[in-house]
Amino acid sequence: MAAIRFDQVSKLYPGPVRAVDGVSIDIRDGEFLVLVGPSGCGKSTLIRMLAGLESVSAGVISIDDRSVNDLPPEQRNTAMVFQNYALYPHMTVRGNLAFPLKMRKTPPAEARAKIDEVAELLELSPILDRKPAQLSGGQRQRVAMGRAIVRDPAVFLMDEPLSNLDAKLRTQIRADIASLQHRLGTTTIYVTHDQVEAMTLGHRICVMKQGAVQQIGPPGEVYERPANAFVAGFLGNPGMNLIPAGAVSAAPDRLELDLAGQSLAFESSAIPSGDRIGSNCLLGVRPEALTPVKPNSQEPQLRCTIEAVELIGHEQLAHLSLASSEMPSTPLAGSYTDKIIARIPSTVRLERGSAMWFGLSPDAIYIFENDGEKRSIDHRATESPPVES
Amino acid sequence: MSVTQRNLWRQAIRLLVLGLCTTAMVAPLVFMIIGSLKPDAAVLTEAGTLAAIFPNEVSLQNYTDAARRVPFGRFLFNSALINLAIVVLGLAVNALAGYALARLDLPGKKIALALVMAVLVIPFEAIAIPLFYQLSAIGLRDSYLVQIVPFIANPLSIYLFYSFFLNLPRELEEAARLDGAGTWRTFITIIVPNAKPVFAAVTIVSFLFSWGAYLWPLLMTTRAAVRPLPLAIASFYTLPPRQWGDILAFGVMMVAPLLVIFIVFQRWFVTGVANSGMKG
Ligand SMILES: Nc1ncnc2c1ncn2[C@@H]1O[C@H](COP(=O)(O)OP(=O)(O)OP(=O)(O)O)[C@@H](O)[C@H]1O
Ligand SMILES: [Mg+2]
Repeated sequence: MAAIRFDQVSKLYPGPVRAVDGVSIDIRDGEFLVLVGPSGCGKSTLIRMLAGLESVSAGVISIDDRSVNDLPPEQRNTAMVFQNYALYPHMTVRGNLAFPLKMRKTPPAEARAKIDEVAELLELSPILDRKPAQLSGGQRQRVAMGRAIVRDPAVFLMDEPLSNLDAKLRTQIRADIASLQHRLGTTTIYVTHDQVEAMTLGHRICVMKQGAVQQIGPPGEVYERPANAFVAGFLGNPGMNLIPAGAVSAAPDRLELDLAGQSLAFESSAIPSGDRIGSNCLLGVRPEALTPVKPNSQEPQLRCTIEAVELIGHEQLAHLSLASSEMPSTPLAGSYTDKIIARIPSTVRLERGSAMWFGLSPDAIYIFENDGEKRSIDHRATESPPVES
Repeated sequence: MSVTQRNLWRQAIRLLVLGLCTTAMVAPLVFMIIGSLKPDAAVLTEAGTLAAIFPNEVSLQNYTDAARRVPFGRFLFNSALINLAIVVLGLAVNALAGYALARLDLPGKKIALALVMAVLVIPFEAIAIPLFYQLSAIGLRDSYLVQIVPFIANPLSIYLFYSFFLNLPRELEEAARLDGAGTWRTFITIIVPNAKPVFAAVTIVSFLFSWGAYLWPLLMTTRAAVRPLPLAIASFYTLPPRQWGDILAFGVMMVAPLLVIFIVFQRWFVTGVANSGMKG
């Protein structure tokens, strides 16, 4: 059991590569924190520094208010589940579970009892005498978990522990991990690429980009109130649509946007007037918030051309573009494009190349500043609890 | 031609090629073993004939003769002792050196590795004479020690260990560290058991090299009490009468231990490769 604190932690690799850049995170005792972010953003580096497998270039990492910067890994009492499991090939499953206990000089009788308990918990009893090479992927994964929990570590670190399993097994073990962590109450940091794991597993999500923390908070909150365009676009599958727009200054409580020639006006007291936003911004809208409507000039609507349709079971993803035959799409600054994805029930008939109208409700949209760095408006502040610090 | 017929032909040609290759490899060995069982005079006179392989009469006379003319037991003991020491100490020293070069965070590691590579290409004969003077000067001649110490650290062995450890999954060691094992413990309990193939390879290679050592013991030793087998077989040529049967018999006795070593350690290659426990 332990609380963990990263205080302005950085990691510089020769190059120099700033793999982790001034990260500060407080993790409560017993908390389950999920680390997400694109490949190479420093997730592994961060937890490897906590485990002592990488040195800390700057800042302080502490476990229970004690700095562990200078402790060798064997003295930190962290346990890690590796992506490739790293089971000891020459030992049986029992040997693998016994190894951490032996290193800690646990009395044999106690060790045996502990191993039996963990084997029971993870259903490893029938395979205790097999070598790792004789196990299936899912069994190896469970042995790796068992080896981590058998010695009651202060912290569990898991680096994409399910990424080598097939989808079905992943769903099952995901649920097992959540209940196991709940039962054991051990502080856990879990690295993943998987949207579903990120949203369902943790108490809090920490989104990283290029070595820096973008936002930390409960999954629902990070999803509902992304701190910036990066977080908005990263979470969700597919992520939030981010459409470059020009803001046309207007009357109070009214925002008028220009999207590639289409003009949209929103009226709401939650939305600040255009002059508070600046002339350029990003309009954010989740794929599921785009609802097909009949053309109607009264409400804010987007006219799109259907470019492609992907059917995925009970729903379909429509790839849309704002361009029309009269108004070709203009090249846009930065990495944002006017490509839009909408999630639509498969009962709606979609035809490639045809035009379609989507209604935009004022409380389904997000406005980000032009560089994507900050959210300009917070019209949901009244609906969601305040952000934890 | 039917399919089965064609397959039969293909099979026949394959067997023929394999047979020829095998014959080329095995013939000298067979010649040695058969020759060692024949009367001295018959060895060379029958060399080109069928009797080289199917002898007319067979006896173990040469073996008893050879053992009587030189103290075979003594030479075997010397060779065994020297080689055992070289191999066992060599495994320890070279494995640690290879591991350090592959894994530890040491200053000047690259230079050390380059030096090992450089030493690898220097032929031993080129440094034998200066080494002879140096070691004579410190009074090490005519000893076991002088035949062992210079050969413990071996660049080829270091290189074999180095490249094996480099390819061993790093997570294995990291898992052991997190489980509470220090560097040394991790090496002994996790690395070594998973490095059987390279230990077997190095054992065989270094045994092969040092079992036949000739130039160095000839330079450094004069007393039969510390001399190894190759010098003994050489003495048959210089001690008249030159009896080929005895020489071949001695050759068989000298090669036999090597075969035993090879057969024992060869099995490790297979088991070592097969039980990788990582997700693959
Ligand atoms: N030993 C190293 N030497 C130099 N650079 C490194 C080293 N290890 C990692 N990096 C760099 O540090 C950055 C962060 O790497 P890290 O492995 O933490 O990313 P990650 O978020 O875990 O990515 P992934 O999701 O692909 O596992 C990357 O740019 C990577 O290239
Ligand atoms: Mg990683």
